[in-house]
Formats: sequence, structure tokens, C-alpha cells
Amino acid sequence: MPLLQYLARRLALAAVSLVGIVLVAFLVAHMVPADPLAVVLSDQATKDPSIRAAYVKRWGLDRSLPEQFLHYLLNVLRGDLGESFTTRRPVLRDLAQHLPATIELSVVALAFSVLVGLPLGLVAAVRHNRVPDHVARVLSLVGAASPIFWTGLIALYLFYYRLDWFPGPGRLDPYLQLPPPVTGFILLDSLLAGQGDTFRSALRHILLPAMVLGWFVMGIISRTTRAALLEVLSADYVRTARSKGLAEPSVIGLHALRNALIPVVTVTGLAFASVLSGAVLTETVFAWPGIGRYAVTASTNLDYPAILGVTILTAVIYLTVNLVVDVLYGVLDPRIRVQ
Amino acid sequence: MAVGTELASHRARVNQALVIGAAIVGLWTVVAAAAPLLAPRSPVALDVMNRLQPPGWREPMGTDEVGRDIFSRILHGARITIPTALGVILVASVAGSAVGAVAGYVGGRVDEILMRLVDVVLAFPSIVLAMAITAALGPGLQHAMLAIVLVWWPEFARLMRGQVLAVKENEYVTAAQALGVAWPRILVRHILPNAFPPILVKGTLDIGNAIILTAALSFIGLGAVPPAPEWGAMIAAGQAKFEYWWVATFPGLAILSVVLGFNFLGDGLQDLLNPRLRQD
Repeated sequence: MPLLQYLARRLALAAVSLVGIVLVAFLVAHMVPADPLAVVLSDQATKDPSIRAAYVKRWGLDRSLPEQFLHYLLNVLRGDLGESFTTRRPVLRDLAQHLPATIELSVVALAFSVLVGLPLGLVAAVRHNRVPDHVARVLSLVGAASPIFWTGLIALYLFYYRLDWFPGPGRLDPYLQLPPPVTGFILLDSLLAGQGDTFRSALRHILLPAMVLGWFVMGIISRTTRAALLEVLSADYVRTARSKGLAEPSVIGLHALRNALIPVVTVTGLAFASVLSGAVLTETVFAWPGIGRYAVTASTNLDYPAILGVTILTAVIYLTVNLVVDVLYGVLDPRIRVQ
Repeated sequence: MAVGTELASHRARVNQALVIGAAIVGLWTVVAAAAPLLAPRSPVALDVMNRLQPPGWREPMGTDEVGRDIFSRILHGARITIPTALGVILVASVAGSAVGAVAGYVGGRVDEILMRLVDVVLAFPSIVLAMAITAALGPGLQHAMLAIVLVWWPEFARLMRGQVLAVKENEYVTAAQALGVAWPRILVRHILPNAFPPILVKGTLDIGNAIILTAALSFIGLGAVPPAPEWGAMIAAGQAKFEYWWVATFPGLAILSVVLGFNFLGDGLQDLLNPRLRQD
């Protein structure tokens, strides 16, 4: 299949998925047993007849169910996700305000998991079934079996409360002001504004939650690296490299690692999704003002527009990441386009 | 290393995972069954005079903010956590496998529609969709369980569909079709038994994830309602109480050990049932 046709097909599939995502959110909204307006309006507002009438019209609630869905879909596509009960602002604005904190945390967490997971997997493969391998195995087993909200609390207890190596919850020390928002990422904005103190404070604050969040994915990356490298190390070309007298570091660095990295890249792309899920609870524990904490606050306050907004947004992020990964593969490896 | 000894050492390690997993899970099952006999105190009895006591001789894991014995609560918590996770995975795997089996066997439009549905549900981060559904239904353990089933069945559907597609090609299926056996019977009698092992492995491995997800929903206040001794809710009670570290630490260790047990069990089963996937 030619590249353009492949791209068009992937985009069309993504559009279908988008409609499906909105449909699921619509169905979830209809699970609320109470007054359907309770999904978009706060308590006081549902009692005011004029507000009620306006909302019934805006969300098409006097129509049949399929028509209601069409209304909902069009509203969502226009960016109208309703107003949050708690913040009393359009959900889309809330999301735009909270998203950068989540992305900043996720990116640092993913960077941590790759920077630690890759060397760990490398050492585990080279020292196969020896002490480093066992250490790596235990780290990833425990990482996969720990509830992230608990790991976060324990990390705060040990490294903030007891040892005072890291600052407490939040994105910045309380006496510092947020840098002028350009990107919404404090690490970048503080550099752009030339505020070194703010940058250092933000960096110190992000490290602990990012390590907690990255731990789980680090395990996956180190296991994948180890397995891929072990497989490659028994390949013919590695034996050839060794038999021509190449030193072991060159064999691994130049011949084995490059080929072993392909599955690792795949897993890292997929891991972004796990990081995003993990961020929901990590943010709650670390008082990190991202969309995860926003979603948790919204769902405990039964703030339906807000929680549905986050639900749709995270699914769209998933969809976009998958689309980008698929397209990259299609570009890199023509064989994939055939399927 | 000679092939023989390598195989033997491999066997030993496979059994290790299975044995460790079975031992941990077995121990927790006994605890869950016998919690009223094993627990020194009631899991809900208040003793406000004795609140937030550190671990000691009287209370090996300390007491919480209303003086309940954390050790007794953890033992009783197993009666919530383990049956909840088993129930959720059982329902999700049966429902998902049924959908996947029909999609894989019937194929065509039915397959296309069912798999689009699966894709759409899997497009959401499971914790976020489960939170939204639980919030919509109203907080509570039963609603949390229903929400987890609703976000989890598609994974089993996708796996079972792939299995059925592979098994369908076997000659004994063609033979049964040639004999004029009705398709539901072929599916149930000839295909499903052979498509089942990976479902069992995934089901076992997923119990741990279901435990963590249920605890997470309770942690944020959408699952089990106080004073139920649910481990996630107990961890939430220890949040922001750094000087009383034992309140959150022990329920977390309980979750960690059960989940490790089920993960070992699943890994061991995987190696046992699918020798081709064995690593090293």
C-alpha cells in the first residue's frame, strides 16, 4: 500500500475511534440514575426552570436518544464539554490549564524509566542469572505488584519526611511564584524567564513523583531490553563478531544493542499509556495539579462534566499516541502497511 | 552448560515461581477463610482512648485514627480483596471470552462490529474509565466491581478471538464441520477447550491488577465504604499522617504480597502451559 493511502486509512480509523470514544462517554453519562440534567448542571442550577430549558435545548435532551448523541458529539467536537460544578468554568479551560503539569510529569517519568531501565536490562542480560540480573528482576517484580498510590506515600515518608532528601508535595516551593506561562511546563517556562531558583525548585519537586511513576515502566523496559538482548546475543552475527576477536564491549555496544533496541522502542511507545494511567494516582498523592488529580477530585465530588471531560481527553491522547506510533512504523517499515 | 542440566535447572525455576505463587496465594486464602478465628480483635471495634498507637506487643501493626487494630483489619480485609478480585476477573473473562469466541468463529460483519467495540473500550486508560463509571453509578464496592468488569472484558475478548482464529484452522474442526455439527457445539466442544490455556494464564495474572485497581478506586473514595477494612481505603486513611507511618504501610504490604503471589502463580502457569514462551 502506498504511504499516502496508508496514512489516510489510519486517519479514517482514528476518526471512527473518536466517535466511539464519545459514544462511550455518552453512555456512561446515561448510567447516572438521577436527573439527566444532573450530568451537566449543578444542584442549584437544575432547580432553575430557565437554566433547565436552556440546557435541554443546548444538549438536545428533548430529542430521541440517537439525536441526543449527535448533539453531544457535535458539542464535544466544538470543544464544549459543559461546565465543571466545582470550578464553575468550562471543562475545556480547566483541562487546558491542568494538562501541562501532567505531560511534564509523564515525560520526566518516562525519561527516568528509560535512563534507568535500559542500562539495568543491559547489565541483567550481560550478567545473566547473576546478582545484577536478580536485582533487576526483584525491582521489576516489586514495581509491577505495588499500588502506585502506596509507593508514592512510602516514598514521601522516607525521602521527604524522614530523610529530607526531596521536597514535599506540589510543583514548587510555596514561596516561589509560577513563571509567566508560555508552555505551561514550569521547567521550560522558568528557563525562558531566566529564573534559576524556580527551575531548581521545580526540578527538585518533580524528581520524586517522576521516579515513583516511572518505576513500573522501568521494570517493563529493563525486562524487554534483557530478553531482546539475550536473544540477539545468541545470533550468528554476534558469534562472528566475537570470533573475529572483537572486544566484548564492542560486540554488545556495536552489534547486539542496536538490534535489540527495536522491541524496546515499541514497548516505550506503549508505555506512555501506562504512565498516563499511573499519573492519575501519583498526582493525587503528590498534590500535583494535573488532569489526574483534577479527575479524582471531580469523581469524588460527582462532578460529571469534569470527569467525562478527562475521560474523553485521556482516550484522545491514547488514540493520538497510537496513531503516531503506527504511522512511524508504516514510514519505517513498509511491510507493516500491507496489513 | 549441557542441554540436560540446562533443562533440569529450568524446570526447577519454573516450579519455583509456581510453588512460591501457590504458597502465597494459599496462605492468603486460609487467612481470608479463617480471619474471624485468626484476628485477635474485631476489625471495626472502636477504642478511641487507644488511637494511633504504634506497632507493639498488644497491636503488632498499631492502631488507626479511631483505635481499631490494624492487624485484625488486614486479616479481615482479605475477605473483601480476594473474593472481589476473583469475582471481577471471573465475570470479565467469561463475558469477554464469549464475545471473542463468537467474533472469531462467526467472523465477517459480526466480528467487525464486536472488535470495533473492543477497540473503543480499550482506547481508554482503565483507571479513568472505571472512575467515570463508578462515579456515574454512585460510589460503592459493587459499583466499582461492575465498572472494572466493564473496562476489563475487552482484553479477554481480544485474546480469545485470536485463539479461536488459530484453533479454527485445525483439521478436527474441519472434520466436525464436514460431519454437519452445529456451530455452537463445534465452538464449545472442539474449539474452546483448546483455546483456553492462555485465558487461564491471563486471568491469573490479571487478578493482581484487579486487586490494585479495586484498591485504587477505594483509595480515592469510590470503592469500599468505611468502616469496611478494605486495604485501599485503609491506605487512604494513612495519607498525610507521616508521623503515623504504620496506618498506610501495612495495608500496602498486604496488597503487595497478594499481588506478587498471583503474579508468580500466573508466570508459573504460563511456563507450564506454554513451553514455547519460556525465556532464557
